[in-house]
Amino acid sequence: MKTLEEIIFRREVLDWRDKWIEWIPEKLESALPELLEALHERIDEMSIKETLTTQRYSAKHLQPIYEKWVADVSAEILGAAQEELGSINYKVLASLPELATDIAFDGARDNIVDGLVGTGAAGAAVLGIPLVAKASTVTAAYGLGLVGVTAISWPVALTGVTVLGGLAVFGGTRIAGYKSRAKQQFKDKTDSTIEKAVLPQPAGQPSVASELQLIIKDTATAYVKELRDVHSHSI
Amino acid sequence: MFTHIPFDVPARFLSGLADGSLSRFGTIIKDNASGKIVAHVQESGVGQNLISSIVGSPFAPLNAISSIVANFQLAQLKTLVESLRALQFANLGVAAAGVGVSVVGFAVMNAKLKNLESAVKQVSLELEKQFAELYNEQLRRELSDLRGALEGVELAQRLKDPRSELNSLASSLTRISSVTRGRLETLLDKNFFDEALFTLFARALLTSDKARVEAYLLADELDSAHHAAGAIGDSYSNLFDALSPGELTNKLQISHQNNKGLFESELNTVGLKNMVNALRDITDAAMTKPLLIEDLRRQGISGPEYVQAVRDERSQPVVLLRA
Repeated sequence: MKTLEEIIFRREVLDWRDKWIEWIPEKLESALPELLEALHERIDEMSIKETLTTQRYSAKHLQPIYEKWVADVSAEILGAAQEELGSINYKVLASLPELATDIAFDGARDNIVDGLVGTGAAGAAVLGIPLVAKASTVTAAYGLGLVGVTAISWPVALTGVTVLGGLAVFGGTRIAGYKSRAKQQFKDKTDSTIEKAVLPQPAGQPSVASELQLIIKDTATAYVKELRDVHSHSI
Repeated sequence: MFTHIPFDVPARFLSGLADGSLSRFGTIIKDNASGKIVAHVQESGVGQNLISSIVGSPFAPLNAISSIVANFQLAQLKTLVESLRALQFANLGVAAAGVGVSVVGFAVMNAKLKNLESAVKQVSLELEKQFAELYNEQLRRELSDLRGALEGVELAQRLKDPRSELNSLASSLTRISSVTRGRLETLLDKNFFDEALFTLFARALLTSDKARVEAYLLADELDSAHHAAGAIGDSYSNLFDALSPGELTNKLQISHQNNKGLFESELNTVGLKNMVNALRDITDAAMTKPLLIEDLRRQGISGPEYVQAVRDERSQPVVLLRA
């Protein structure tokens, strides 16, 4: 039969899970403009020649920015989630009767619990309480490299003409106009691809959000299972 | 007002709840310093009759209740809602599961089932007509089984020695709960969410589970009541813990896109959050119910004695059994 502590801690873990599952898309959405700005700045540096090879440009110049952003923002989100879970870890450890035996009633028990949890995640791991998975497990696989931002379509008039020679026919201003429009088109496509890769998508399509949410869900499931074991067995 | 059973009124605990020395979890009040249970929350007969008169979703938040009940009951209901709010309940779901044990009487439960049966007529999942009719017929048969069991428990109490009959009916209710639980599991496995069907099955499950614990208590089988209550709590945890508002929202969107489901769902994201919160509270209440029965055993209070004392309470909609 479940103990009252197990029932209460179970609910706290579920509340933690529900809260973070809801927060993750909000946090990603609020961090997204910073990523898009960085990508736009990089796109602004493209030469005309590079606008003809956007897929190669994406893989070489944009994908690394995207991957670093995913790693940084995931680490921040999962780190904050882990810290909150830490407060539940503390209460679980403090509730274990094994830590109350042979200890003077002067708060020594709390000291021991503090010591166990003092190193943060490590203490909890001693008892098999799961940690929130590290950010490196969140892949940026849904980004530009794999999804692929398709080539920009240049005006038909430019095809079949030697590029450098032909460009001179149109004069500098018209070329600048094409380049500007091409870059804007690339930015728009990049934005839409990134949003689909990062934010929750319908019908179970993977995204950075869904990967992070799955980590939270799996952690909560493992935690509730561990609570059962911690409360039914001695250390 | 109360018999020798150590009931108390909510007012005695409110200052402790307000200053944080006490807290409520599920249907228990505990002392935060010692961790000990100090009382069990129990709806009285008058409280449960009031709850039974409410139409609308069993998952509704407390602040939505007053608009859906007849005016003449409003004063009594207001007292009930205020008591539940003061005890830090946020929604009506916990009452659907039964705050403490159910004593409302099986005639009242049966009356609620009639509403469920009429809802079955409108079930039309994405099935061809003849399969929809077969499905509806099967659902009506299952609800009839439940009604039959509830009528049986009501009648059994008039027997000179009802225990054997009550135990048998409790077993029938266990089987009925199992079938309904299976329906819910199948529904939750789908990639769409039929809110109306889910509510129908959830209500039927909560009714049959409340009834079987009450049947064991009336038979004075506290061990069986305790075991059943524990199993019910575990089953709700297995059914409902994995639900999240986000996932249900996605499934609901698929329902709308494909025109699956009973009718257009009225639930939006906030509504789904309320539903999930209510299901959490229902599960907490179910999981803490065995602790009430343990206390009855410890205090030497018999099941029939307890049920009768709670039924007889006419002035307080919510009472607390001191631990």
